[in-house]
This record gives sequence, C-alpha cells and structure tokens, in this order.
Amino acid sequence: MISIKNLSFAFKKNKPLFKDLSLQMETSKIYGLFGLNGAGKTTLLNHITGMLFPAEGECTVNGVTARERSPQMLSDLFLIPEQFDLPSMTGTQYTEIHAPFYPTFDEALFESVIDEFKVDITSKLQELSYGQRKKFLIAFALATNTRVLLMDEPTNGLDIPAKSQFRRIVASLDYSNRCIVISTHQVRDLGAMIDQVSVIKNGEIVFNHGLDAIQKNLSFKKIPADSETDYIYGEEALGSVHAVFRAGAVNEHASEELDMELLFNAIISQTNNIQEEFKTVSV
Amino acid sequence: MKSLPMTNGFSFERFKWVTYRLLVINKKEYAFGIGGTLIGLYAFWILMGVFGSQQTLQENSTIVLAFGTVIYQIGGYVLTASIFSELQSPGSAAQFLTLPAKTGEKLFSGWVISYVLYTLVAFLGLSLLILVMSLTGNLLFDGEFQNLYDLTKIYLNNVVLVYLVFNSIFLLGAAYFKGKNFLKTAFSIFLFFVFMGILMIILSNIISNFAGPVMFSWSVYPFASFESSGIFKKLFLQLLYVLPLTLLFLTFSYFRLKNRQVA
Repeated sequence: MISIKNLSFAFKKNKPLFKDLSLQMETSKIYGLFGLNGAGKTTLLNHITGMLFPAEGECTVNGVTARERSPQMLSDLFLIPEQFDLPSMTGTQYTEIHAPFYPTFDEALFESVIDEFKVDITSKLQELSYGQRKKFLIAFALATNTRVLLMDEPTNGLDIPAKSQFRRIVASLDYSNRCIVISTHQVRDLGAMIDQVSVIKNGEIVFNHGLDAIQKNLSFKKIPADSETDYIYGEEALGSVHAVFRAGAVNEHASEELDMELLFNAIISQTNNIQEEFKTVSV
Repeated sequence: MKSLPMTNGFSFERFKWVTYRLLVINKKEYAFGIGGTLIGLYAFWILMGVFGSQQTLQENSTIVLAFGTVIYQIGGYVLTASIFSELQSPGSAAQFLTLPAKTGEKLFSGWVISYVLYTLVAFLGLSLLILVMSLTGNLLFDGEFQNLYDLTKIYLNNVVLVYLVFNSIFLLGAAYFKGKNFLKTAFSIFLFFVFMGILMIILSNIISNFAGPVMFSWSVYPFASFESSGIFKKLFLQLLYVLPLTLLFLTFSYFRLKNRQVA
C-alpha cells in the first residue's frame, strides 16, 4: 500500500534527515509512527502525500509514485496535518466543495462523527476554536473513506472527552481495506489503538513491528528497585522500576500489559538491544 | 453527494469544480477589490464634477475610465499574485497540494479566475459605472442626460492584451514565491527591465565600436507599431506578440506548481 524505498532527504543546508530509509505499510493495520522531536515524522508523512520530494529513493502509494500527485492517488489518500488552516467558509460549504473529490465519501459517517464531536458546521470554520476545527477535519478525513489515512498528532488540541471519542470512533472503523498511520507523541492516548509500531531515529526506521511480535519478544513489568533481575530498559518510579524485559525473563509473575511509552523510550535509548530481540522476526 | 471522475487525465468536470473551489476561497478579495474600486471611481468622478475646472462630464468620465483601466491592471496583478494564497503557509498548502486534481487543472482555474472572469467582471463593472454616471450625471450636475459610454478612448483591447501577458507573469509569481508574491514579482519584473536596459547599453557600446553608432528603440507600450494597421490585422499582430509570451509564462507556472513542495 505505502512503499518507501531507500529514501534520502535533507532540508536545504541541513544535514540529511533521512538516510536510505525504507518502510512498507500494508492494509488492515493502524500504524503508530513515533520518534523524538525533529526525527522527521511529519516530513515522512509529507513524502507519502507527495508534498515533499525525495533526494534519492522512491515513495509510492498504491503503486503510484507519490511525487506525481496524480488525482487517482490523492483521491484515495487523506492527511490530517498537525498544523492546518482551513479556508474561510462554513463547514457545510467545505464539505460540499471537497467531498466530491473523494468518491468513497460517506456522508452518514461524516454526520455521525460531527454529531458525536458536537461541531457546528454551519459556522465559518475560521471562527471555530482550534479544537473544533480539528474535530471537523477529523470527521471529514474519516468520512472520505480513503484507503490511506495519515494523521499527524490527531489528538493535539482536543479536549479530554474528545480524545476518548476519537479513540472510540477510530476503533469502530472498518479498516480491513485501509492503512491508517498515526504520527504522535501522545503514546499514552493512542497506544491502545495501534497495531504496528514504527519508530524513526537518526533518519532511519529503527523499529517496525506488530503488537503480536512485541508481546512475543518483550515483557513489561514493575519490579522492586533492589531487584537483581536483568532488564533491557527501566524507569525508576517510587521505589520500583518499570522495566522492559526479554520475553520469559520474568517468569515468577505474568507480564503486564504493553506500555507503549515505556517501549518507545526503550527503543530510543536501547536501540541495538531492542533490535537484537527482534532479529529473527520478519516485519 | 456529487462525485467527480478520478481519472489521471485532464477532466473538465473536475476543472470546473477546482475553479469553483478557488473562486469561493478568493471571492472576498475579488468582490472587495472590484466593488471598492468602482465605488471609489464613482466618488472620484463626483468630486471631479464638484471641484473640477472647466472639463465636461464626458471628459471627466474618460479620465475616470482611464483611471479604472489602470486600477484594473494593477489590482488584477495584486489579486493574481495571491490567487494560490494557500501555498504560502505550510498549514494550508496541504489543502491545495493534496487536492485530488491535476496540476494543469489547478493552474488553469487560477488563470480563468484571474484573467477571464476578472476581466469580464471588471469591464462589466466599468460599464455599469458608466451607466450610473450617465444616469446620475443629469441629476447631479447639468440637468441633461448624456451618454458617457465611450470605451474606445481607452484602447480596451490593448489594455486586455497587455494584462494577458503580465497576468501570466504574476501567476508564475503566485506559484513561485512563498509570501509577498505581488511585491516580489513586481520587483523581479523591474530587475528584468533594468537588466535588459544595461544589456542594451553594453551591446550598443560593443556594436558601435565595430560598426559605428547604434540606436535601439524600446517601447513600454508594445503595440505602438501596430496602430496604423487595420483592426483585424492589428489584433492578429498583437496576438502574435502576446500569445507566445503568455504561453511561455503559463508553462513556467505549470512546472513550478507541479514541482512545488510544502514549505
């Protein structure tokens, strides 16, 4: 569905952001795209949408080179950018004008998400708060039913009830034929929705595995601070250590639930050790 | 809900929709620009009638009309330079760049709005202004109805053809620059003429060293030499001059827009 091969890219005068980056993304999955600030998550999404061109390598969406920005490819792809400005028009007008560009647009879904979020689409979009505008764009994006849906920090700016509404709505979507990519820092908010974890570090994808593989290879557990058990990565908290172990390393108690934030921190600070655990796993 | 064809070739249906979208986005600027100018011109005409010297209403109207065509051009360039205003911020560029339509459809929409529609509306507005001036002239000033409509005095076709070329240059500026598009394009045009001037001086010096004194003639008004021809021949000659230049700048604009990346 999304294929990135040997992508290299640098902003002018800066050091390369991506070096030979390769990544495949398939249908029926929600990808969590994680990385530190400046790692290039947004830049990668911009390459997928064809808004940035690689210096080397290739990025294709459904077999079409992204930089071509062909109408067919773009009508099957939607991006919710982190920072966005909507044109000066009402929500109703925006929908009337833009929905025809997406042949699979689901009006009923749009109305139900708008109702759920309680957005007034008769108001001018520029008069709505940032959070309301974001809810509107999320509703529109979900209703386009495009096979590729990219969301850059989708819950930034949403209030707490809206975050759980968002999780509920996305979880209820039929994504058997869709590939959803969520780029976010809010791993605690969105971790539960994700099927596949992809991490960018130093211009490369250093981790790209599904939840099954993660749970098969790693365990997450809180142990006493003075415990002698070996772990790959740990964070001290109130006399205990919340740690990531090799699978089977903590036999005495069942492993706790996957902690996405802990996993991300482990991947960033112990990249080689984590990669070692997944050596035999195919992506 | 309407659904547009999503073929990869040029689609007229999609082009109409892109034009409609661009028109909705830019309508406020165009409405205020054209409406404000017409009201301003009418006020100017009244002031000329009240405080002016011995000029007739007909002469005042011709001045207003000539002034109107100058504003038509300059205002048009300002509006053209901002026709793709969405491209100027990363927040809105995504809306434009990922809109499922061909680059050619997007560019052609910009041209149709900034040239065809704008020219039609502007001259319809000017005609309406003349009509209003004709109708109100007798009430406000001398009590007799006068038909003040005389567009022939302003070389209408020349104005529209000159605007055609410069509009395509400002369209290129709209696709090329990332802010202050009008000023940057105007400055680029100015630099181009300065460069051409310097080039001519250097060339004339070089040539005169070998072949004696050389005289270049350079006219800012490019159609002066066609004025003596018949109307169709004149138009044909003007188009020969104008169309290749316009197509050249539209082609540059197309490639610039096609290769435009998010800031």
